[in-house]
Amino acid sequence: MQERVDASLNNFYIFNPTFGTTEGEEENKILFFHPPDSDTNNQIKTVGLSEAIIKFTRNFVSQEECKSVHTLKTRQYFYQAQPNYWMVMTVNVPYTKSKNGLKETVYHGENVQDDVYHSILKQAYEMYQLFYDSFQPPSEIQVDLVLLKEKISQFYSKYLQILKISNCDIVDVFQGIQFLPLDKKTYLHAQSFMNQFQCIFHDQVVFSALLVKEHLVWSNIELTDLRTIYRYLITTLLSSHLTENQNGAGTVDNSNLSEMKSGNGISYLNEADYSRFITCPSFYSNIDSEPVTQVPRLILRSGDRSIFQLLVYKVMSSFVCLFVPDAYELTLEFMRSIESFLRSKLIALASELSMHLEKKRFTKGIVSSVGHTFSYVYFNRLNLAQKNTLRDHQAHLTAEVLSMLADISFDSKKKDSVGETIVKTYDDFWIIGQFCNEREFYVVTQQKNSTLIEISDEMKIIRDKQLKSIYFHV
Amino acid sequence: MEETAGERCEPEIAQEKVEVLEKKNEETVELPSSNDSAIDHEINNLTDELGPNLNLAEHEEEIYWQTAEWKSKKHVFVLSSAGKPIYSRHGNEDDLVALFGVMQAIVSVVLDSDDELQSIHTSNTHFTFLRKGNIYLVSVSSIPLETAPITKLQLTYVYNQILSILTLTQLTRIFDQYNNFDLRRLLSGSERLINNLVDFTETDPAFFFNAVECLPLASSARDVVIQAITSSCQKIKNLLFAILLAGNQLVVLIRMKKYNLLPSDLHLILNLVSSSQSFRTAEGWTPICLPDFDASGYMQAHVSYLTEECQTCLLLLTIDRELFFTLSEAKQKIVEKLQKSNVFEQINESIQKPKILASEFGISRLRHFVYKNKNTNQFVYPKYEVPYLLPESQNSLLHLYSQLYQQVNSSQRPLKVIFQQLKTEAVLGWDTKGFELYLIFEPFVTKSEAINAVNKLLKCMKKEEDRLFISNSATF
Repeated sequence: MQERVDASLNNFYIFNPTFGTTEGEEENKILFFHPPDSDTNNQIKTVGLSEAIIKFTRNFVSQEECKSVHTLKTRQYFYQAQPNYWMVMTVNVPYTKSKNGLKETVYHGENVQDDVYHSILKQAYEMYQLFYDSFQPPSEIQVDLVLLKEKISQFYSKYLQILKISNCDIVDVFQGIQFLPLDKKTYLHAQSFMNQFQCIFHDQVVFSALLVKEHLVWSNIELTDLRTIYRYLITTLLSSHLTENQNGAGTVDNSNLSEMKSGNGISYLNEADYSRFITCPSFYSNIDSEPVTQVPRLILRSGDRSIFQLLVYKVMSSFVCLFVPDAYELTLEFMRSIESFLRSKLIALASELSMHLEKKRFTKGIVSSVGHTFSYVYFNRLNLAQKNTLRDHQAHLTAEVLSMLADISFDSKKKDSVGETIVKTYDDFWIIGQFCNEREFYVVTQQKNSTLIEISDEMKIIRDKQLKSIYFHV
Repeated sequence: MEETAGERCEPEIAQEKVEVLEKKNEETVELPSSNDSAIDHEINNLTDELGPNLNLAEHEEEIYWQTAEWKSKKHVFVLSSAGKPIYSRHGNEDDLVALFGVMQAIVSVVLDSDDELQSIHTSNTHFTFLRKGNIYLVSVSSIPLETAPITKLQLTYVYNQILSILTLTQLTRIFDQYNNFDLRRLLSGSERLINNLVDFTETDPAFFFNAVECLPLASSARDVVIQAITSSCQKIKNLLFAILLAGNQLVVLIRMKKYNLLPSDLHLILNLVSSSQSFRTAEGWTPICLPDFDASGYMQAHVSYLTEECQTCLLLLTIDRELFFTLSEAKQKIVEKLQKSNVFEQINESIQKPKILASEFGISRLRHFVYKNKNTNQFVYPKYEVPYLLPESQNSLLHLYSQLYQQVNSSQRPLKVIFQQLKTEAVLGWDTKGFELYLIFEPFVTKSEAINAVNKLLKCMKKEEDRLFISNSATF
């Protein structure tokens, strides 16, 4: 019997070789080390090896940064987030071992792809930046090490708990944003609502965004920030709200409803009126039964790296995210005025949006005219738009196929402008990648007896149908 | 006879050679220090150790391994597990002692944690590590399409070349006895072989495709050669292989039943012949170990060029050290027999005739192709034409092919078909029973044109099969 063990996190550490250069003080270099229970000597040895490897490569390349180290059992990723601040993440590669121990353990290093995991490491820093801007602000010459270690440890010990290490794929690299395709009328409705809101609260709310479940409908946040904020919302802040109400986007969970009705808070007219702040100051939490998250304070690059308070208001499956400058005090009066505006205007829009989401759910699963099933992923680097059916349950894609997608993507970056790549694997998956104007489009289908030409023709039809209005010339 | 072949390969000569050397080395060889503590020490001081060396550069501007020229090169290093330099492609090993020390330490530290260092990657450079017993090999390459599997294979070739000179048995014995042994003593004079082999792995498609090229020849002519060799060698015992080469192309290969040669071993033979000019003037008798055939022992090779007029090189490989005169006689007989026929003329004609061209098949938009016969590991590689006349464009085509081959033959994710439209060309790779086909087209070829090209080319290859490939595997 064979047992396959998935990839897992071996360790994760941050160090700065300029702290603790004298012998006996090596410990000072280490700003963070996970797992926390690893003993100091081991930490120093591990960091020492990383340092030696970085120095070794500099004998051959002066400008290039060390990015990864492969061993039989691990993949180690390096990222120099700021000069001399190195982040290192070590991943145990997946392996298969026979249960009776008769056969040798086989390590599948090929399934942990450098470009995928290196961007996961980089994302770990980008998320840190959202909360703390940087390890060492350029203005700061002398670092308060104690404070820095505390900040890092506070952030990363939580971050590593939600970090997904096994089965990462190309979609994790894109880090794209799922937009909700709307008809013109609904889109204008959403836009006019947000504009109206911005008009009234322009002094207090600098940036805002509207989401339906994990789909972005509207936002005026710049792309540099949007990617990380979007990821923060989806994976952390809103994650518990995205999984509830799984049965239907428009209905309210009954258990919540009964609690609400029996609660002492504001009474609700009907189910659709279910709306509340998800994050707000503690004095404003008006429903005892619903726990309210503290207001997160985020740093936006497009906002001159200043701090913003993030208020999130929820109506049905719609979320309005509001970024209020840190200097502005969230008074009871302000909170009330926002709530009364949102409550009165958002409900109609929210139910309209929910309907669209429902519609979208039913059109999933793409079948070509000849009856073959396709999965696809589309990513546009220019607006971060992403459409993805790879992770749908009916897709049934093997880890090998998903790795192949990443192979094709990175190969296209290595070679000079690839227009199109078509491959057929040994288990008869056809994978097609097309590249055009910073856009990437991949289609996967399993067909034994099709020819290259047939596949290519079918793919064209799928593309034209799925990416109707998107210019894509290959 | 056949049963004893394996044992008879035991290199008695080699053993003597080592014993002599061991005596010579007695005073100079340092006793292996307690290795563990040495490594521990090195880990602790790894970074300190590098520090002073880097500082040194500021004082002495001439240190080669700190220059821009050094950094622009592709490197291959070989060292022992004790950190002794064995080979460096560039620079003098003695000047690089500190660098070798660092490489040894890094490999050992990872080994200490029950793991194995494979590679280090910076944005554009790959550092590949290979550990074979007491031999560590390292390569540093900035060639974009030269991926880890290729550099790893290159290092395996370098290792095999060392085995080919020393045998695994001897290598193991040396390091079992003297952990600190300076292997350069045994390899002196062989650097040229390693240098040539590394060049070969960078420039010859035979390496990437794991195959050999054959000299195009009418099958009747090839049969005459085979007949002449087999009839002349019929009574010679312990003769394993007879190989006739024209440059780097195979004319015939005759083998003892049950035994076979892999392309990797043939490449070492090609390297031996192309690295040594002396065989042109006098017949040679040289020990050679073919690692994929039998890494433990030597064979003896009788190497000679057939005649002045026909520059083909004949190798007769045996396990019997006493056979020189017998084989020398047999070679004379072979030459006499061939001189009676007109085979030399045919061979010369084929050598002088330009290589096959992709354009001669009249397939529109086809620029170049590779056809590999998977059963015999022989391949056809047409001569370069426009737009691959400049060395740089030939180089990038080579790398494109090598990458394509790696993608198709990937150990984890092999492919049946790959079609790729690039900026300057379109490529099609197809792996199927019996053969692999790789085609390079103009960038805007349509898929149906590409498929038509495949069909047309396959027909042509089928027609020419007897001439282009050595199909019947001849035996003694």
